[in-house]
Formats: sequence, structure tokens, C-alpha cells
Amino acid sequence: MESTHPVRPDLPSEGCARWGEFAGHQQFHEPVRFALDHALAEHLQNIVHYSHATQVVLRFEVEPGCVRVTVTDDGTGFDPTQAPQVDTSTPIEARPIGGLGIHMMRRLTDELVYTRLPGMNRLEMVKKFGP
Amino acid sequence: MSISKQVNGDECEFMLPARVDGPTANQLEEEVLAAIRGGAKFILINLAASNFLCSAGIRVILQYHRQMKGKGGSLLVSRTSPEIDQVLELTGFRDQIVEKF
Repeated sequence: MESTHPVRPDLPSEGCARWGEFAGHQQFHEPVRFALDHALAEHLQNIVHYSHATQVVLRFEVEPGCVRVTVTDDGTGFDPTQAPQVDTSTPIEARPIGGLGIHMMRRLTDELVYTRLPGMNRLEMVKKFGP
Repeated sequence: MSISKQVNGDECEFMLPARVDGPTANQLEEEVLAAIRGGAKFILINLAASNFLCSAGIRVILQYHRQMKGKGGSLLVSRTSPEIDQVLELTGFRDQIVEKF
């Protein structure tokens, strides 16, 4: 099962709504729906703020044991998988304000794969169905 | 759905909607700034109705938690759902910004 959705690059909530519809139709368990809802929202929010994309396309694919959400955009090249790790043990007063969104994407997914294509970014977010 | 608030002297409680996404985080920041300008010293972010909290929302909470603490006041989060607890746990902030009774 797969599904492709062009969405507005300036409206993350539209992409999350498409994911919610797909996840509901597929009857995914709540942890899977929840994790990819958050991860997708963070990535789409980064596209709004930093990528200047004019086109964003989402692709949802159910594979054996997992679901894959692929986001393709034509914005500025940026590889979130190379962003610095966040040290959550640092005291709150000393914690940097930035980097939390990518940290959440990493923690909520089982796999993040970035590919730079000619003029395009592609990010694949994979969530396993099992524990 | 928008943010509502209750003010009692220098205490201010904000009730957040189900989905605290980027636009809601921006609205929360405006509301918190207005409350601080209005003399609030103790601010509570009530998340009883929320089940989604993006990093932009956490950034607002973190930034003004620090600011209020530095001025001898407080900004804490209250009545978190299991979903919100999970998100705060992931970021390492749960034990530091959730109100303890």
C-alpha cells in the first residue's frame, strides 16, 4: 500500500493531516501514528523556516514490518541526519535552545535516511510496527 | 482552537489546545510575553487537553522557564498527558519543567 500527496510547502499542518488520514485508514497503532506525526511535523516545519521550497511531496508506504514516510522538497540542501547530537543530560540552564526538532525526529523514528538529488532533498523516515 | 487563560493576581495559567504546533507555539510566546509585561510572576502552562507538542512549543516553554526563574518567578508545565510526557521525556526536560505537587 502506498500513497503520494503533493502538499503546500508553507503549511505543515496539511502534510500532517494527510498522514493522519493515511494512518487512520491503515489502522496503525497509536505509537506509530504518534511518532510519525511528530517527526513529519518537525521536518515540515524546518522546510518552512529554512528550505525555501516551492514544492513538497509526501509518500507513505507500508512495507513488511514498518511504514516509510518520504518527504521530497525542492528547497535548499540540508541533511538533518548530520546535525549535531543533543545531550539531554545537560542541565536545563545550559541547554542550547535549537536542535530539539531533529533530536525528536531521531528519537521517534527507527531510521532516517537523507539523499540529496539534483535540486531536491529527500528524507525517508521509517517506523517499525513492533517494539 | 486557541489558547485561553486565567489570571489571579500575579499568577497566570494558560490552557493549551490539543495540538501545540508551530502557529500555536508562536501564539503561546505572544501570550506569555504579554503576561510577563502585565506583571505575572508565576505562569502555568496547562496541557491537560494537549496530545501533541512540537519542538517550537518546547522552545517557548524552555526559554521563558529560564527567564522567569532568573527573575525569581516560575513558568512550569502542568497536567501533562501520557503523550506529552513521552515528548518531554525524549527531550530530557520532563523532570525539570513539569509542576510537582
